[in-house]
Amino acid sequence: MPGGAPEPPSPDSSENEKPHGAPSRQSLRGLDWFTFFLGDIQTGFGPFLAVYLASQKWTQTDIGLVLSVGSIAALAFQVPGGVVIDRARSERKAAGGAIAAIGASAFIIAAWPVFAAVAFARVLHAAGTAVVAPAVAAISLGLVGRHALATRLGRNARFAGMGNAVAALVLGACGYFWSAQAVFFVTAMFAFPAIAALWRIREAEVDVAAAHGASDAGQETNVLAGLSILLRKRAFLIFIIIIALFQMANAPLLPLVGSELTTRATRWAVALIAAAIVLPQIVVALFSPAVGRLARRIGRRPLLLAALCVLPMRAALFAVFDGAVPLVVIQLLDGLSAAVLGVLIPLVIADISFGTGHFNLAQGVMGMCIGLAAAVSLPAAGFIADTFGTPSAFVCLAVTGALGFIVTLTLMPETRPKEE
Amino acid sequence: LTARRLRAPRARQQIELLVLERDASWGILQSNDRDCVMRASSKILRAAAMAFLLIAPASTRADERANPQTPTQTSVAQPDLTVLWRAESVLGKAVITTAGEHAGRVVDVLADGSGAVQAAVVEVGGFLGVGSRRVAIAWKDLHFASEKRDTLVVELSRERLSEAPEVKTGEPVVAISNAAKGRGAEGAN
Repeated sequence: MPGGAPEPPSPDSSENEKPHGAPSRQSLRGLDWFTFFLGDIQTGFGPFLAVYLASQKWTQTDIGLVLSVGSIAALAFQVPGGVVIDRARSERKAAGGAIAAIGASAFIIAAWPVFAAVAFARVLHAAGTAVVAPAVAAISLGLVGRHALATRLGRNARFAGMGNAVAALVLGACGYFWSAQAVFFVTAMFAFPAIAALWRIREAEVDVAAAHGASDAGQETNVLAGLSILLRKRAFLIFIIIIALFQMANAPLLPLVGSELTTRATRWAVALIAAAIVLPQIVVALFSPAVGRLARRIGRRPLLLAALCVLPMRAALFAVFDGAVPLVVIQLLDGLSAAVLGVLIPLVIADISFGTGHFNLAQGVMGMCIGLAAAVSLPAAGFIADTFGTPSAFVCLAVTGALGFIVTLTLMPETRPKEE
Repeated sequence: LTARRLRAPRARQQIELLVLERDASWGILQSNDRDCVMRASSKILRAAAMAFLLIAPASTRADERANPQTPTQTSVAQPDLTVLWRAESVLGKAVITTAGEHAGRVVDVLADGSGAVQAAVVEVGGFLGVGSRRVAIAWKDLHFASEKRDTLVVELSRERLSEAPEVKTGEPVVAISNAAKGRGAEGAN
């Protein structure tokens, strides 16, 4: 922290950074492993669910329907999930409940793969995810205070990246060598260490007001007032547009690359796709602490520009190179952008919303926009790839990413508070 | 959804051919073989049982029906019942190559206008669901691996499967087949 004592970031927030000293080592380690197991628990719910349901004799129509139910629920719950965390008296209990819901959802999917049960489990999972995703950043903010948030988020992203990498390897091996059903039983088991890690975090050390992005304890406004405050902040709107453009350009890249790898490299396709999933997460684990430090030293804007510069380059390189191994090497660049965004999304939202008491509402709004962006761009990219060929889809995604870069360059302000 | 019911009275087989509205060229076959002793799961309509596998419907007669939800029931009482001792569901079954390599999983079965099964849609490749492709394999090139019937063997190399054209909704399906065996199955419509 170069530059002395923490000061109020903006005139409307009085000073209230860390009322009760530094958090204990036990709490910080608890948060480390909580983010690690959170990365684990979400992996199985991705595209693998369709594979599992197909193995349970589900028709493609039913699989499509149940996946849509989940996606719509995930979009609908984002904002309420943020509101729940903003209102919670105990972030830890809210996060614990959400993890239990996700674990239960995995167990239901594994044990009872009939339509109604899986649809219910998907809704349960969407609700749990919507609560737990903002809760990690909220607990971090409440634990370390605003001045240390950047470094803490860097550490979170490191553990989340390691969790994602380990989960992809363990669950992928589980599905490949054992059974698709086992993947969901193992996912359900991950809920236990996640909750155990969460309970290592000492409740008293999490400053509830700070976790909500409030500058003093009594500050609370209702949701609509909060939304109107947030949506009038120009930086917030621009940041949402940038992240949505990033997501639109980024989300379809891995599925397209995976599909290319399956066609190109028959014998090694599975290993190469595994590498394309796992290696970027290792890059995230390596680089995100540095991103956290840099965000304090040089500010948020240069890092955001770097991430949005790498993304269109990556998409364009995919369009140019078509060997299997080059595809995997280019995919490594994903780790760089993901490391930056993993830290910067919660950090910039905290910068913008601190003092409003609606940090998690803001995270929920962002989560919904990210979800919408992916929901629009995945089918669009699939359509372009089917109609005009995969390279055309890569070019379109590169253009979308470049647009995000231009918006960042021309409109995005630096949000780093003066005292950092 | 429009549905056509095909009846093979002699075998007491009722096969429902559900044709997707936007994709009239291929459909999902669901057989409702309630007379068949070994299919407990056939009560669930969506678990498409493929019990007609081993007995080809000799004389099929199609009549149009408006309501796709009602399971076919009103068959003429026939004295000759067939017990399908050797039939087994194929949906969700793992597919391996003749070399024993893991190839994929059956996710759909395609039939032509007469209800005859033409191809199986197999999801090949992928890791954790990323990068898998759906390809159609000619029905004649698939058979069960052993008496246990938990795995299907495809008489094609993994290279052929990976290169096969992808099955896309709303487009004519091109099934790959083992040319060495003759009778190429192209365009399952």
